[in-house]
Amino acid sequence: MKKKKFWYPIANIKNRFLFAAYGKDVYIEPGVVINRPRFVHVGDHVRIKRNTSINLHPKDKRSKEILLFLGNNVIISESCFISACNRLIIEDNVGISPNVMIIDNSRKLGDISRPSKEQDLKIGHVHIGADSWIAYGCCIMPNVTIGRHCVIGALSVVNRDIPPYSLAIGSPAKVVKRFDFEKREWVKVVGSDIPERVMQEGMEASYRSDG
Amino acid sequence: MRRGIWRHVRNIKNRMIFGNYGRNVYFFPGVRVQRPRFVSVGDNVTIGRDADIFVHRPRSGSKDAIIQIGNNVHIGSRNIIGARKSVILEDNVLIGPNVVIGDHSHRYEDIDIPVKMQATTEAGPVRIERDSWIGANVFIFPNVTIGRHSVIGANSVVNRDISPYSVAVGVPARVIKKYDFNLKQWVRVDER
Repeated sequence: MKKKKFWYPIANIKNRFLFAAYGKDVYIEPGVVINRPRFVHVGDHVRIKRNTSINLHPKDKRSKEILLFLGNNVIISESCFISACNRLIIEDNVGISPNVMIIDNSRKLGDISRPSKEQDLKIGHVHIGADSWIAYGCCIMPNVTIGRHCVIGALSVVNRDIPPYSLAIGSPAKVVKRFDFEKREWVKVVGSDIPERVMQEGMEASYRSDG
Repeated sequence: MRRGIWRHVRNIKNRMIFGNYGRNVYFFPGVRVQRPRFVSVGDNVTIGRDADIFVHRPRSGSKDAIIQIGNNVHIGSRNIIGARKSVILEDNVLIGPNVVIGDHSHRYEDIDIPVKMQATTEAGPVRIERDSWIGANVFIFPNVTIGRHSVIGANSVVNRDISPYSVAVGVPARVIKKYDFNLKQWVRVDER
């Protein structure tokens, strides 16, 4: 573990007033930009490394809803970009590598008379399941649910749901391996699609292990 | 470019803590080097802003350099170089911004432990040979050798060896051009 700056307990006392919820033993490195910390829930033992920027754009600035939920033991590495408008949930024990972009909003492309950056927002949600690992430089698009214990390979773009216990790579991300609960081992997936039944099994297994 | 006068002081300090430290080295502000004893840096090296270089302590207790950076190497900003066994950048290598070079990665097989808490895989040496150029946002896997004078395009993922004198792009990186020594020019190849 890297040396923490000596003043980080003081910063934590300050942050406890700014955030919606703030756990124990959180270390937010210098250089992290969070524009509206009031809408962020931070769990215990969270680490956010430098140059990460977290932008929150609530519809109603006076509301008390939580837009970005970080569970316990979440680590977010350097130069990540997270933008939340509606609901962005990162569950416990998730590791996020450097340069990852996670967004839950994008622009509509309907009106051609206006520039794209001035058009209406398309708002979705993102859910990243517990124990997952998101490798370097991934881009996670709106309306995506990543299941429990997934691994997303480097520089992939995730634009649809990833079932639990699977390994997905590429742009757009495709599942290449998944955990077979009958054989108790990781098996290769042939073809791009996963049958509905397998997805259901994975979901059930993840609930079972939740207890 | 104006580089502050303090770099001379910092260089004197770094010469004492690094495994090997050449002349005329410049680290931009925000460069973090963990365990510099295991890093060897050649002459005329520049490392860009906020680069992160980390070395895991070898179990054998040897004091040899694990990351070796040759002469005239330029490393761009926000690079991450992680090493357990060996990462070698030879002379005259140019590395763009946001490049990640690692010689180990995470295990994920055990489904009861969170991925980020599982042990890393066996380290495999990474070697980037002379005169190569690595573009922006490239990710280099363990056990990869990038041959002499080759070019890796932006946003590529390099997961196998790249032969010398070639241009490789894409996810995963494929060779699209090679230097033909008979024709004395670069020719397109279709490697599929």
